[in-house]
Amino acid sequence: MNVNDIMLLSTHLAATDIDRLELRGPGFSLALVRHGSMIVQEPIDEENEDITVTADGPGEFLREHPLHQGISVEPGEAFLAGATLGFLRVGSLLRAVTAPAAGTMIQLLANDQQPVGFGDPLFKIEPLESAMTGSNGAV
Amino acid sequence: MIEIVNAASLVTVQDLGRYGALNLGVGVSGAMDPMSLAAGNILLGNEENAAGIEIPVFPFSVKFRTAVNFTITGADAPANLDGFALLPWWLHRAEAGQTLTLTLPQSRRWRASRAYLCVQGGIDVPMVLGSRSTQLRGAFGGFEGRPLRTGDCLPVKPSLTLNAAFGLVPPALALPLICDGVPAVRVLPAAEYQDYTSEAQNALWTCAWKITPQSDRYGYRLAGDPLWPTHPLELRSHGIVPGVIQVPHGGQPIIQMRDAQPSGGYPKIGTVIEADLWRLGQAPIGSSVRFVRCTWDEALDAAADNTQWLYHARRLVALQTMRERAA
Repeated sequence: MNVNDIMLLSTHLAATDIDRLELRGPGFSLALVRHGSMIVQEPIDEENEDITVTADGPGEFLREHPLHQGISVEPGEAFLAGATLGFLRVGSLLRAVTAPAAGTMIQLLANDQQPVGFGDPLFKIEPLESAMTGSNGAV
Repeated sequence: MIEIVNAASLVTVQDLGRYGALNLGVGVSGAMDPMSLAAGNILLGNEENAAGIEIPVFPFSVKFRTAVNFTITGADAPANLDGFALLPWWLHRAEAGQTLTLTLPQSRRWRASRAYLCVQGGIDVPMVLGSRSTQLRGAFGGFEGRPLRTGDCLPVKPSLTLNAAFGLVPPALALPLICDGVPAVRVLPAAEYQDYTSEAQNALWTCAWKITPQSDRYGYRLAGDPLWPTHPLELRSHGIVPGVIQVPHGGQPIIQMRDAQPSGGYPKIGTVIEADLWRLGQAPIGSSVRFVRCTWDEALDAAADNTQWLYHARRLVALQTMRERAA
């Protein structure tokens, strides 16, 4: 990608309502971010591979199983792939929110008993692989 | 096949009960908490009346000799499959050779005493007089008409692979019934209610009745204010049903439970409504219960609430199962 390509992309982007464009290719990465009416190029934080776990359907978000008390995954705690991080309740039906990968809980993005819809953010997790990869790419 | 590895006493195979044989002197039996048994079956896609295992004493262990899908409902008895912790009121799968262990219930959200293990297709014991419930007094039904022992092998059908898992919120949390902070059940005044003093009648509705250790599937002996009749009552033996609150000569009431004799001669002061028997069935020994007076119509409404809960649970599980298959 050369400077002219980036400028062309920025011009096209300015005409849309897209706030952030991230482009990755072999050997390059590009982030164009909207600030007000301007499009600005920003460096991509290669180390930030955090995953946002979202709701896969509507329901009431629960941090603990209704029968349990005080059993929930707190920020800083580690878990395996497939671990239950929380629940979504619709009526009397409960579904588990499971970890897409092994890692550590970074942040809760929804409150206990908050109604959520499809795609609503629930947790931010740091996957184990990105934690193991240092800034220089060494494992 | 499910092999019993460790069972204390009183573990029995039960379905929802043996109805239509009271006139033969055969009691109802069946799960002390039929809502939990039905819910476990609903999660598995079984008919609600499929037979399961009622576990009142812990720890309890079984080894699965056949791969089956299963649920554990009723009391939250912390369970593990080969050491891996399992969620309660949830769909699980066991492969052949795995061991399931249930330990003492400790939930503070719901104080309950009996757990139910249901498997896909139900426990495949023969039906006797239209039911798979264990008739302990008559020594028939269930598994050889007796409580389960270490070494017993229960027949089950193998289950197809489980695509995805989900669970149910127990009805105890959705349909709470508390009176002055004490778990309560609704009671209809019974035939001899007006033969009791006004103090006795008042005590029935205000006392926090304690479930003594002399309580089991046959009946719950309660401790509380003595209930005296206005005059000595002598009745001939007559038909009774689970839920009937009898008052023997000592003045301390007994609630007839699922394995009670179908007839008795003690005076009856009240009857716990059929819709609330599951709450009693889960009340632990040593806990207290309040009686809330209700009308006939309110009793019917309570039964409708239970039916509604089961209907919606079945509907939501069916929708989720369809959704998993489509995904």
